[in-house]
Amino acid sequence: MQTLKIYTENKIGVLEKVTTVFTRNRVNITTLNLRANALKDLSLICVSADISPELALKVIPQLKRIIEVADAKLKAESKL
Amino acid sequence: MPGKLAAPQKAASPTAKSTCTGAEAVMRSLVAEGVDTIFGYPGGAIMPIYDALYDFNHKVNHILVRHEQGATHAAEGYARASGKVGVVFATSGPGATNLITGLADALMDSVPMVCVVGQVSSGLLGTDAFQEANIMSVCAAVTKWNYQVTDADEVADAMAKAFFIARSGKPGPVVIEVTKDAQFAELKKSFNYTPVIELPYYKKEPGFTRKKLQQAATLLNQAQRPLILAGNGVGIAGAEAALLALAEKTGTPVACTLHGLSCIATSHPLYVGMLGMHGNYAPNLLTNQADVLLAIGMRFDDRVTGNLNFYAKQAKVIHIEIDPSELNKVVKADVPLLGDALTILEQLTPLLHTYSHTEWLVEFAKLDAQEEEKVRRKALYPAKVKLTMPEVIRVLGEQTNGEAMVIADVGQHQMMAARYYPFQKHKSYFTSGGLGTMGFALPAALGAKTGAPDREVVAVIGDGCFQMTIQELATIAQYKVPVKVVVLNNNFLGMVRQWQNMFFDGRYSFVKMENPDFAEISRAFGINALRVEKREELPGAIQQMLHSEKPFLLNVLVENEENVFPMMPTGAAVDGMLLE
Ligand SMILES: Cc1ncc(C[n+]2csc(CCOP(=O)(O)OP(=O)(O)O)c2C)c(N)n1
Ligand SMILES: [Mg+2]
Repeated sequence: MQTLKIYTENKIGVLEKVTTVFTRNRVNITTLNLRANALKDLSLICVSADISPELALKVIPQLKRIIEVADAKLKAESKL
Repeated sequence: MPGKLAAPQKAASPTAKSTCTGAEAVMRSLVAEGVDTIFGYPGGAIMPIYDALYDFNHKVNHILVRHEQGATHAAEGYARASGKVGVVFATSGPGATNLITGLADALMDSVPMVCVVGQVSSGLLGTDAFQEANIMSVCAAVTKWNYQVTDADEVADAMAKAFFIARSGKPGPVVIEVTKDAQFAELKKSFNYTPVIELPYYKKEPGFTRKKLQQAATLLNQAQRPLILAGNGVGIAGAEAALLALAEKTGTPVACTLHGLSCIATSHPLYVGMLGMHGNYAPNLLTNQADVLLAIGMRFDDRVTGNLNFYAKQAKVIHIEIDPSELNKVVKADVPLLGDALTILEQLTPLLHTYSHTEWLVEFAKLDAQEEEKVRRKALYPAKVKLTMPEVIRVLGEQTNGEAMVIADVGQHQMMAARYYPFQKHKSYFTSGGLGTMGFALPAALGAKTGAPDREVVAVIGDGCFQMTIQELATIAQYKVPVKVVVLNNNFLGMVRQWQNMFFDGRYSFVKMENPDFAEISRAFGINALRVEKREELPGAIQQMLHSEKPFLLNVLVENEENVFPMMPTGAAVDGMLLE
C-alpha cells in the first residue's frame, strides 16, 4: 500500500486532473481524502492505492507536471 | 445555433467607449501578447468573440479554416515555423471536441498553443444545453493547462497565464474556455493586461548545479566514443549554433531524432544521421558502442530506443532536459542536467577540451557505406519502372538546394522525406512525431507558411493522409497561401501495408485505396496542379511547382509496394536494425 500526498491549488477541476494521472497508469485508488486550506491556501489530497513503490515513484513526476500541483510525495518522505 | 439566453446589445467598437466586454478583453489580450494570426472557426457560443474580432481585423489576421482540427495543426505549423504561440478559436461542443486531436498532437510534440473556445452561458452549465460539452474534463488529458472563465474580469489574467504556460518550460497546448455570458458581460474594472512571468508553483526552468555541469564535462572530456543525440528541444531552445559549437570543439558526432532533424546540416562532417526505427544504420548501431551519450532535448521515445533491455547499456548518459518528469523516465541518466538546452550548452562547452575522434568517426563511415550500398543508392536512383518516393525527395532536395521547410505527414512518405531530404537550414522538418497524426501536414504547412512567409514551404503528404484534411485546400486557396504540396501517391496506406507485408504474412487487410485524381481535385479548389507519372516528367514538374508564386500541388504516382529500409522491427534492439 502506498500513500501519496499531493498539495494543490484550491481550484475547480484540480482533483480530476490528479485522478486522470492515476487512471492513465492503471492505478485503482482505495482511499482518497481532500482537505482545502490544509497548508495555507493549498489543498492536500491524500491518495492510497495498492501499488508498488516503483509505480508510485513513476506517478509522482506526472502529478507534478499538473500546473496546479505544488508538490507530490510518497507519504513516508512527505514534508513541505 | 440560437442560444437559450437572449443576446444583450451588440458590443460597440472598442475605441468608441471606455468600457470593455469579456469578448473584447479576449481580443485586447491577444493584441497585448503580440498575436498577429488566429486560426479559427465560429459558432454560437463564441459569437461575441467573433463580433469583437470584427473590430480588430486590421490588427489580427484571422484565417477561417475548414475544420477545427485544421486550425490546431495550422497553429502548430505556425508556432513551430515562427517560434511564437499558435492561437486557435473554436466554438463550444463540436467545435471544441474537434480540437482534441490537435491538442494531443501539440502536447506530445511540445508545441505552444492557446485555444480560446466558447461555452454556453454559465447558468446553463450542467444542463445538457445545446452544444454544451464538458470540455474541461475532455481536455484534461491532452492539454498542459486548461481553465474555464465565467467572469469577464478574469479574462485578461487567464489569457496572460495561458500564454506564459504555453510557451515556457516544455511548451504545450492550453485551452481557455469562456462562457457566453462572460463574453457579453462588461468588465467591472478597467481592462488591464499584465503579462505573466512566473507562477507560484511552476518552475519554467528547473535548475542544474555547477557540480552536475562539471560531472558532464568530465565524462565528455574522458570519452573516447561520445555521441550526441539531438532532439526537438534543440530547435525549441534555439540551441542549434550552441550545439554545433560543442560538437565541433569536441569532435563529437551528432545524430538527430525525427524532431531533431535539420538542427545541423546533413552535409556537416560530424552529422551521422537519423536515429530510430527508420533512421540511419550507423547511429543506431553505434548507440550500442558509444561510451558517453549526450542526449539533448530528447525523451528516449520507444521509436528511438527499440528494445530498452538492450539499449546503450554500456554508455554513460548525460541528459539535458527541461521537463523534470522526463528524467529517468525511460533511460537512467548518469548526469541529469535540468534546464534550457541553450543555457546549458553555452555553459558546458567552455569546460570541454578540444578533441577529434577520427577513428570513432571512421566506424560511422564504414557502417554508412553499407547503408549507402544496400539501401540508399537503389532507393535514390531506382531501376524500377515507376517513380519511387526517395527519388522524388532527392529531386526536390536538389531543386531547393536543401533549403526548403519540409512539412511531412505520417507514413512511409514521412520517413522517406526525413531520410532523403538534404537539410541545410535550421527548423526545416516538421511532422507529427509523437502522436503520429495523419492529416497533420496540409494544415500545418498552411500555418508554417503563414508564420515563415520567406521560407519555401513544401508539404510531403501520403494519399491516405491527404484525404484526412483535404478540405484545407480551400483555406489555402482563399488566403492565397503559396504552399507547395507533393502528394506521394502509392494507392496504399503504405506504412500499414509494409507491416502487414513484413510481419503479418502479407495479409493485406484494408490498406488498398482507390483514390480520385488529386490534381483534378486540387484544380477544383482553385489550386494549380499536375499529375506526374513518368520519371522524365518529374524534374520539370517540381521546377514548375517551385517557380509558381501561388500554391501548387503535384500528385505523384509512385511505386505501390515499396518498403522503407533500414528498419528496426518491434522488439529489436538498436543494433538489430535490418538493412533489407
Ligand atoms: C489518424 C490516424 N489514423 C491511423 C493511423 C495509422 N497509420 C499510420 S501510417 C498510415 C498509412 C498512411 O498512409 P499514406 O498517407 O498513404 O502514407 P504512406 O505510408 O502510403 O506513405 C496509417 C493508417 C495514424 N497514424 N493516424
Ligand atoms: Mg500511401
